[in-house]
Amino acid sequence: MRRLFISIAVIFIIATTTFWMCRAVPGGPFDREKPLNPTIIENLNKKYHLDKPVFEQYIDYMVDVAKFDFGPSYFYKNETVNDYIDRCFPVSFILGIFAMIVAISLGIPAGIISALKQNKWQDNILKVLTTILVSLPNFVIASGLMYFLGYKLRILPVAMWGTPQQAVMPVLALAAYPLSYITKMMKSSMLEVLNNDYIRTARSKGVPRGKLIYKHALKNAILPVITVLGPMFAGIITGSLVVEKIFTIPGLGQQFTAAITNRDYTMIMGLTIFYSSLLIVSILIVDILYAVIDPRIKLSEGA
Amino acid sequence: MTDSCEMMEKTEEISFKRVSKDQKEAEKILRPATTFIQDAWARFKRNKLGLVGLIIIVIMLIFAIIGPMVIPYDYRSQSLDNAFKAPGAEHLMGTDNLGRDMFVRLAYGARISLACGFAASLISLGIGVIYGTISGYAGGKVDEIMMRIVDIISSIPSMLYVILLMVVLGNSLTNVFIVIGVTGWLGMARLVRGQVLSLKEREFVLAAKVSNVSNWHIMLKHLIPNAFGPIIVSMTLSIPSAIFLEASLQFLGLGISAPMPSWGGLAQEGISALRSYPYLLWFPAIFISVTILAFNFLGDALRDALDPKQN
Repeated sequence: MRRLFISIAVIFIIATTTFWMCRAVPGGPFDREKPLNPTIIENLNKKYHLDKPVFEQYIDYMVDVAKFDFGPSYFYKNETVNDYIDRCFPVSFILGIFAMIVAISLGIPAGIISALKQNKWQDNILKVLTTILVSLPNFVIASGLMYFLGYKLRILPVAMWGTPQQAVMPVLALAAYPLSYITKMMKSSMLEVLNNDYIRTARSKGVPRGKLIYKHALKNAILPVITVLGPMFAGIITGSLVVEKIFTIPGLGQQFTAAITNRDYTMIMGLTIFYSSLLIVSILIVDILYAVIDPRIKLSEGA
Repeated sequence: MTDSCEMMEKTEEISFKRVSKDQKEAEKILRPATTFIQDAWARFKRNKLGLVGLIIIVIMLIFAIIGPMVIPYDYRSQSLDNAFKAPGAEHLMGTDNLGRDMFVRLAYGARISLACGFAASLISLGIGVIYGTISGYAGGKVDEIMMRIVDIISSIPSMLYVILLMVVLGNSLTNVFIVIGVTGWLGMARLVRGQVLSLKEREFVLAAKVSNVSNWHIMLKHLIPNAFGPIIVSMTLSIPSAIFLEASLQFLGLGISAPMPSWGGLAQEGISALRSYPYLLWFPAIFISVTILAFNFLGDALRDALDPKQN
């Protein structure tokens, strides 16, 4: 319960800061290079309730946000930020989920191999690979994939969204960073578990190696990896901004980038709050899951 | 009797021979006294990857400083006749859509990216060290509140508020430094706090306290210098993430304004011409990746060298 309360408080703080930061921007949202007619500006201000005192605007906005209503877009006429979230979020969501699945299903086995073959060639190769993956910015990975798979080999479509083939490259580009993160995490956690007494006990009573790893070690080693799901999710959100732009995927990330270019403040505000809330809620869920799976951990301790 | 007495004297003479001073020294099982820095350097030299990283960084620095002076082109003078020249003798890395020499643009980009890496990590170093030291040294409720604030900020992806801050502050190089620096101090603060927490229980701090040394003096002269190793390591590792973030920002259209090139901006321009002129993307991409890789190698090597407790 306390955790829930803190999460709501954090979302509230983020919404407040975002609102005041966007109000602090010099120049109104309707300033153009060629000044508009004063009456037009006045009417626009009236339409978006910008003629009210700032504090009143703030209260209104917070009440709306509490009702999950992020208001109208300044840039696209007759459309609200919620319309865009409804339309674009499913695309980003599918993309993110697949990237997570790829990262988890490759990262965990890679980490296990790396831990079991510590300092052998398998481990060294994986170590070099993960360092390289961490050092490549995702736009380099994305455009590299695009060039070689899309233009040179012509086996995958280079952009847009809709067919499974079009999803392959963005998913890979997004999965690269979390993948190396999970591999490192899984390795260190596996090494720690393998040093435990109960593993030695199991080994000395003659448990076969495969069963030892899968039944005894893996169950305990995989638990800490669950905690990185939160940061991983953040990485995927950040990555999706760039990756969706490159592959022109009609997702929320691209919408956000466009909003930056268009200086569409309500959109930027709304999407920032939406993304942060999403992240905070998912961290909360991960924490609760963690406590459910591992009874040794009590939520009250950390909170 | 006399015989045996003589014998004893003889044996005494044999077994207790005086040794010269040199021989005594030679028996000592001691390695030559080394300072911490020498020791660290010796450990560092053994790490080949770290050395490679250091060499790459030095080359990049030289390229960034001297490059723009030596290359006979200018980063902004356009000549449309020379647009999209492939890499060759005249233009080492080709020219872009406006006929600007890529090599010199990359050199300017190196200035921007490296300056950004160093400046941003210095800013986050400053904030992080001050915040972490105060939090760790004060302890108790103050510590709990300060660390809870850090937890809250770190639960939001930094990219989001970096973007927000950039939108609010506007595009300029100093703003990029500030924004990345101001958002990158969380890890540093946590690390310094941890170090301070363990250091402040040590005897020398107690000794300083009983001799009436002021709290500020203890923090500045006793605690921070002792946490120096991990701080340096963490700073080295924060440089590549600053470069990474700057490149991503530039890629999204936030950051410094044209015509000044930065690696991220060059890569973004490169992608639009990827199909026909892929070299416009490859060079900036290689520069960014190699530099980040070099800093990562250097940071790992420094960790092994400066933080021997970890092994």
